[in-house]
Amino acid sequence: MTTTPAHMDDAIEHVAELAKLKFPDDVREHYARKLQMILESMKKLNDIDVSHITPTSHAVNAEGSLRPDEAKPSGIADALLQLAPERDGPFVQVPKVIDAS
Amino acid sequence: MTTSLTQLTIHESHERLKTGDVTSEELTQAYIKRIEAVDPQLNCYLTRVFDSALLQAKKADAQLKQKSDVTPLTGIPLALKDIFITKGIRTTCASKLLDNYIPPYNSTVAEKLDRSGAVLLGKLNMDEFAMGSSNEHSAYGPVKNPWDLTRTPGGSSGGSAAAIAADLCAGTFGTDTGGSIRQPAAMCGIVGMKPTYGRVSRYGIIAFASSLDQVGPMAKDVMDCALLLNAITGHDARDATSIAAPVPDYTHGLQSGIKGLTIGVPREYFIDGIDPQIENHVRSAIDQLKLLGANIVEISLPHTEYAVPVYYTIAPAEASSNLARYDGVRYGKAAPGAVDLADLFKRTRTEGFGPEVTLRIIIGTFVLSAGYYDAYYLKAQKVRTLIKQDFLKAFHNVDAIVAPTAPTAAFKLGEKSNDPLQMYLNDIFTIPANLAGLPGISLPCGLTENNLPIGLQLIGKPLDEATLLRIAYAYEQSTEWHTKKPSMQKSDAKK
Repeated sequence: MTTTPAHMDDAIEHVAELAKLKFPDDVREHYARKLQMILESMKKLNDIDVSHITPTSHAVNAEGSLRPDEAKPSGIADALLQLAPERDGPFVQVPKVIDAS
Repeated sequence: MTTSLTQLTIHESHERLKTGDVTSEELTQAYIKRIEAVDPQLNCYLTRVFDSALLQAKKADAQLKQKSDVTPLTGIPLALKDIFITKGIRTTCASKLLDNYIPPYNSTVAEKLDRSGAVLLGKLNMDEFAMGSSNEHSAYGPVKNPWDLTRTPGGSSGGSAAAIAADLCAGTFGTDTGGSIRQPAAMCGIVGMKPTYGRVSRYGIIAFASSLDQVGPMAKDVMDCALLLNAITGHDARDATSIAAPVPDYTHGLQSGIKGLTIGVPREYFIDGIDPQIENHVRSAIDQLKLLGANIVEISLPHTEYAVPVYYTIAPAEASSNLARYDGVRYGKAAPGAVDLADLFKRTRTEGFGPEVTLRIIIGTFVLSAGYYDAYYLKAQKVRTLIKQDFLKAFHNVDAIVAPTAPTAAFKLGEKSNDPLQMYLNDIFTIPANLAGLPGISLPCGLTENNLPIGLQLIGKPLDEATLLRIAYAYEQSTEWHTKKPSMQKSDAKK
């Protein structure tokens, strides 16, 4: 749990890339300070030995109620397509994916 | 003093609708007038759908007249937190990113409301993507607390709580991930319940933290809370975490009293930092429960102090994953001028998310990232196990737990908005029930010297909402706190 300020700046840069966010320097520093403050408060969890504890990912132990994997018409495909900011006929349109330069 | 139509509870309105003493159209018109007059001060409604509400009211009046398909909600004007997907009605989750989003389908809750014959007045303000404890993180501006317009209503369901307190709707449904129903309910002097995780379908609620999110009723009194819960509870094949368990009628047994029930008082919920006025009123409420026949015993939930850091690891982790879908491609707003796809993602997300949501995405992405996963996320999940075990042990000896809902009454707008840790600590008494998946309810139990409401919290065994409602009803009927109404004034008091 190394959280030095310089380290934190790099961490924010890395996290921003993973989360598909992009900050100017001053905004990055703002979030670096807040993240550092929050991570410091989480160090409280180091007070307890949890090496033999099973993690809980869900509050209720019930097994998920899965239904058969059957294709069904949604009836709203056209309506969903209309919500796309850019579209071309029955397709969602996006800017270029491959850098051609 | 005559009670105006908008002051009636759902069960009182229902009685009048059934006898024909009032029509749903008259009731709906009364709410519309009140919203138009009062909401500019409060900012509760993000979207109003009065035309369709009046059509629903006419339909309800016909059903009431013919006495066909009448439910306790037929013709009752309700509203929904803007996190519920509503077919054909703008659903923003208080985010700029979804400013133009008109869903082509309904959430299960909206569908059930529609089927019950209720009237939908509109969609209510909240913290963006339900991330916040003050409703100050809405892209559409903060909501004011009707008890003091210089204070927050709590959050994230702040618009919902304020709307009920100010009689801008008869009832609502909120969502509670770390206290977002119970904490604003406490701060606005209303009743709010978070049912057991899985009790109510999450299908069509915009996801924040999927292992914690739960839908619940917010109401003027406990009877209304039970009626609203009846309308939405039950298994839903469209939500894989929905529980297939029998659903009782929550209004049955409300009046059976609490003689012989054992209620635990956790010593870790009366800590330094709790406002002494809150502690005094909650302790008086506990005395009242004793007078009503409950056995009161002290209990310990030793890992309570770890709940906030556990929550603020797990909830942002899940949020960072859930919010990955907002990329400007399929729905919502897309940032203009992107040069390529990666640029579209980055511009849309950076410009679209507000500062608190961005911070939570950063925290969540960090604790899940390679090299930090075990130290933060996995550790938090293990401590979550200990918090859950604390409750399970306690419930061997008690039927329910009683505690404050929040450590303070409503705080001033801007008071905590620059200090996330201070803001997060306000959720200290509500978060544990979410981590353990337990039902919890908040109901009014007093007023501070500044005339601000105080909430009493009851936490129950899994799927035992009925016992919580029974205790809450017994307490409510033996006191007058639920009858107090807000002043809609600004206060000069500093504290």
